[in-house]
Amino acid sequence: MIEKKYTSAEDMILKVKESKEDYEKKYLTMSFMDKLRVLVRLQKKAYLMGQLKVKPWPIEERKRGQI
Amino acid sequence: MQNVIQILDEMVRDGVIEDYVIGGATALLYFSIPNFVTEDIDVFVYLKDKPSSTLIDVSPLYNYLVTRKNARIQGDYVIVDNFPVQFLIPYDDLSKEAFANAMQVTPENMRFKIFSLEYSMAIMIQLGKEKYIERLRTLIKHRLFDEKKLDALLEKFNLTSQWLALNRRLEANQ
Repeated sequence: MIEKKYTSAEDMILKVKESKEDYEKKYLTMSFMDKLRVLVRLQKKAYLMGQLKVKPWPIEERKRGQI
Repeated sequence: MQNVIQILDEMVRDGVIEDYVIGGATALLYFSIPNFVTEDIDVFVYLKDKPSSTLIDVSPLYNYLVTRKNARIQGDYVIVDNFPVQFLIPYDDLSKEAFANAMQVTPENMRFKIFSLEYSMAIMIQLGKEKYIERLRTLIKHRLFDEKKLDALLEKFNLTSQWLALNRRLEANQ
């Protein structure tokens, strides 16, 4: 199968917008605990960048590929 | 998280607090997308002993957590089971009503009350902090709230003009 190539900048922007929509839809249907796990991942990044004053919450991550 | 809920329930049973409701970003997360970072869990509480003056003494709450639950105080937070928790007393008519109308949720073996989405939104609109703009944008974009309920709340608490201004700002930034 030949992968579709972007034909223009508009096409590329549209593709990015579509994947953002898909991403948001996926996260909306997640369970509360899985949302917390995503939040903790963001906390860890922010903590490493010095943007968080306290340590990330001690919620265990799922194994790779589980979310 | 489960341990924090358990400790809050024990505080009610032991008569330290009358009741509690989770607000802030943790409550919002229940309805929305995890595209924001928060440091703490906001827990709104009513203390068991009603204060005789307007000054509320929260030391019994802190003492209980430190002496009986190995919590420690760190700045504005109480670190409970390694979770930073901020205890807040409902401070105005809106937060008091949000507390009274809190909804019970039961995610994965837990049971606790959170501010409903429309009350959480009204509080964010009232406080108008910069960090709330993006959170509100997501909720508006996905139409996650009951528009009639929110409009009624905003009208009741004189927040309609703030809401309209915020909407104009969001539209301009699209």
